[in-house]
Amino acid sequence: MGDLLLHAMTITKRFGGLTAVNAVELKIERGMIASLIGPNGAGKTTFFNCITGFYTPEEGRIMFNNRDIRGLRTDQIAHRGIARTYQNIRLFGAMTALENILVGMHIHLKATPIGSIFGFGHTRREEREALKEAYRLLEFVGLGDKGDLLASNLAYGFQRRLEVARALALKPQLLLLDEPTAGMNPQETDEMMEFIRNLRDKLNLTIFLIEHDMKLVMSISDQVSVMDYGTKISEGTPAYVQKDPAVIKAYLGSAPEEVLSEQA
Amino acid sequence: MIKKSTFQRGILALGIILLLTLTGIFNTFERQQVIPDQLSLNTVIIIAMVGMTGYACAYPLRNQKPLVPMVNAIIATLAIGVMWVGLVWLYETIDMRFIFQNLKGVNPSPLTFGEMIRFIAVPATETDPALAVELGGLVKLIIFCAMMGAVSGFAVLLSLRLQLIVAVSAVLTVVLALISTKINGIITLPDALAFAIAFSLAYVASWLINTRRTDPLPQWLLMSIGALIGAFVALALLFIGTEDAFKRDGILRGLGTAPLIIDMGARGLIGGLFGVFALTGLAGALAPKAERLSHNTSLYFILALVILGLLNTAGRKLPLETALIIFGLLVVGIAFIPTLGKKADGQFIQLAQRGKLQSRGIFLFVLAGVVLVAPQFMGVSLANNINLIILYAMLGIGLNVMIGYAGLLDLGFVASIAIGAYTVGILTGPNILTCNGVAINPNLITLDEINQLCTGRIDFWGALPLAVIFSAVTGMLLGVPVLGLRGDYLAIVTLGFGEIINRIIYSDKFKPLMGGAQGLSPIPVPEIFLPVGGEEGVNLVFGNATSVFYLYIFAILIAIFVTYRLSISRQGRSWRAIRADEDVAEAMGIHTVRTKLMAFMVSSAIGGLGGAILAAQLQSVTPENYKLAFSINVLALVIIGGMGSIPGVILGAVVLAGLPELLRELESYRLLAFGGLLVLVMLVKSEGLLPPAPPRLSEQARLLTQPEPTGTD
Repeated sequence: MGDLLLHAMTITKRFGGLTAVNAVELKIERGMIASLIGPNGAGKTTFFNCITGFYTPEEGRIMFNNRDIRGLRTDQIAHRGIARTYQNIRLFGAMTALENILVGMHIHLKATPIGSIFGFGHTRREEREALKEAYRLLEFVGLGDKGDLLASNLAYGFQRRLEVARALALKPQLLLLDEPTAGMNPQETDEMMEFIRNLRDKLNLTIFLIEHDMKLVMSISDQVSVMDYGTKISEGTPAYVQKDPAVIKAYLGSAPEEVLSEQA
Repeated sequence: MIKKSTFQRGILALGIILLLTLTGIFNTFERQQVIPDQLSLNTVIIIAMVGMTGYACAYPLRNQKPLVPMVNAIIATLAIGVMWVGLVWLYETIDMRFIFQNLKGVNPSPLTFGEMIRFIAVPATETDPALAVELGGLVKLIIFCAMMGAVSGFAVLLSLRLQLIVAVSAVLTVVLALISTKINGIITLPDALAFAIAFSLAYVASWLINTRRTDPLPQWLLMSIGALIGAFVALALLFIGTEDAFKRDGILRGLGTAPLIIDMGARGLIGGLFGVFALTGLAGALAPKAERLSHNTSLYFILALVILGLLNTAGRKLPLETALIIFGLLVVGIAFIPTLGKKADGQFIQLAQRGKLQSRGIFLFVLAGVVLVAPQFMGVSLANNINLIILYAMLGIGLNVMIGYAGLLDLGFVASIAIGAYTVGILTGPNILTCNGVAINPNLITLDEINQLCTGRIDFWGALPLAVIFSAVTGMLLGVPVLGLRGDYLAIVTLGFGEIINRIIYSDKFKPLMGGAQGLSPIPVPEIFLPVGGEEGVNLVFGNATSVFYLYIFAILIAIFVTYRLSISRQGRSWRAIRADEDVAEAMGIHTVRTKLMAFMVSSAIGGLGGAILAAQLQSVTPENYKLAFSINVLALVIIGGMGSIPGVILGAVVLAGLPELLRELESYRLLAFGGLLVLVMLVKSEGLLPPAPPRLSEQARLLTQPEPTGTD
């Protein structure tokens, strides 16, 4: 496979006496769709938060493009090329869909306050270009006609898509999706699956997602990692993980056939 | 059919009326005459309250059979009336003064509707308040309440637009009536009519010409026609608008005094007279082709002119018939002008882009003209009120950057105002710094001595930028330690800052520099020397309310320009993103520290600018002026107006700074009204009177992407 984009080296994150993430080692190669699964409370989102700098892990290193990003601020990590979405959608509700995307483009814009006040030529050109690009992104996720609606007024499915579009506006190398299909019906989930695959194929993104929908995980992932009680218990291709007894035990502690039939 | 809530609302309304009575507020309102000897503000408010109660009961039932809302409204208002009468009876029978200490000084007539009874039917012989408690008066009170219920119950059946028109007109009429005593104008009714005639003739002519033709007339031709019509009106005015015409047997008798504009002609400014009218005609000719905003603004402008003329003719007291005429004019204006605008939109806009730019030009031209001329119409007291409103609006716009955009609750905004004011005070006033090291006691020193001794003072224009910069820098520095704090914690810390600054300017330690409790005075009046008009030149002195007005206008324009441009830029988006969700904003790559400090800085700079001008207007700085209450006032107007919306903040300033000034009598109840209004607005419209409108960028974005051949589909 290709080169290594993200390498989390023995990351540990503790909250008081609780070790939420315990010496997790994880590699993601460029161009991959990687998934992180595990029962509720396994520490998946905490792991995400460690990568994006929202938490600083006590131990371990996070190599992104061969540079350690542990201890950087969230905004610095965004500059390095990591964007994310949230499990419970976190849009800027009082801003319009277009504005949400424009905020996502923040790091690629150079306008200074002085330039904006006096409306320098290059500032205005940049703003026009930004608007144009934001609109394209909005059309890309199928919200072309909803640009002026407040994000909080959008339907649930549209909010999910807008959140992805906002993350794409950062032009990231690595896109973290935290349960992108939460609350969706089977048909919407299928659409989302197609959408994620498109992102990788058309935009050459590397995607790392947390997901509970096993059908989606198993059909689009190149690599699946499984967490339970803060530790990584298994990793490999979907086929391998499905058969791993440790995974089955973590989920149900019983026969593999039952687990899979139930999850599908 | 009769709802339980109807009774609840009736009781609630009575409770409010009773509470207000106990505060004695009605006594002061009674002295404030809307229409002399006919209608006091007291009466207006009681009518409004009873009417609104009926309306509130009827409105939710408006979709039922017509009788249902009516009956409910009547029952609610009747409940008020009956219980009120009961209370009056109680008041007369049992001396309740031992419970309600405040009743001691209260004149019972407001409680008995004394004023109201007089208004409804009986001749004004009932000057003795004791008579008002007579049985007849009480019955009339009940009848009045029932009538108000019927009216409000009927009102909900009308179209919403009609209700709005009538309500807005009524409120405006009362407001105009209240300020009519303050207008000290240079315009009379004939003046206003002459302008209105010039404008409408040109308007109608241009409209007729345009509708008859398929290809539009060239702009210059239209403008010339308008100007010509205006000139003709001026000529006519010169001939018939003489003093004689307005005398007892003249043709224009009854219109008041002769037009003042004629004086222009008499003083040899014939050209000016013709010019003004030609311009009016020109505007009238262009108006039908203008975009809606400019079109309507010009019509409203003419309407306002006529109303001003009417008020001035009415003199210092507004008679009933003038009030009715004004009410009618307002109804017609509010009802029809927007419709005319729609027509103008549909029929005449051919050159959309060019026409829009042009008409925006006209709009700004008219607006600038109004602003420039406005102080000439104002008396000193009105100018003072307006200055206060502009000051508050401007400070609100500054604070809005913190609260409305960045979502940082700042309770110590007065700190930046004080820093701005004191920077000007220290640099331009007498103190140890400017007076060559001599400590000054303002009580023991004359102006001459100050002028001799204090040679280190710089003039206002030098101090102003320094005040703004110093205020911005201090604001930023104060922001540094509190960056990690959010919400309530930040509010408490900033509250402390405000107090610290106030303590510093109060302190004896800095007395030689800042004057301690006495403050610093005199601060010289700002002047601008213009080297034009002869050898002496012209010296513009901003020494009184009508001239300081221009300073305030200048300052608020800067504040609006800066904050508006920032709000629609990358910076503004970052602010709003942080306000919405700080964590996510940071994950989008926004440097939250820098962004917040920017908000502190911009907001403090505007606060400093306001403080600097305030110091120059008052010609002194005293710590008394820069206390917590100042912060709270500004905060309240931002919240009431609508956080994050510049028009909202301006409206908030008009309401919160203007209304109490308008009701001068209210002064001692200002905080009561303030609190009541805050509660009401927050209950009814928690997002403020004019919440920010989301920017409409889609259309522009679509246009931008279209010409691209490779655009996505």
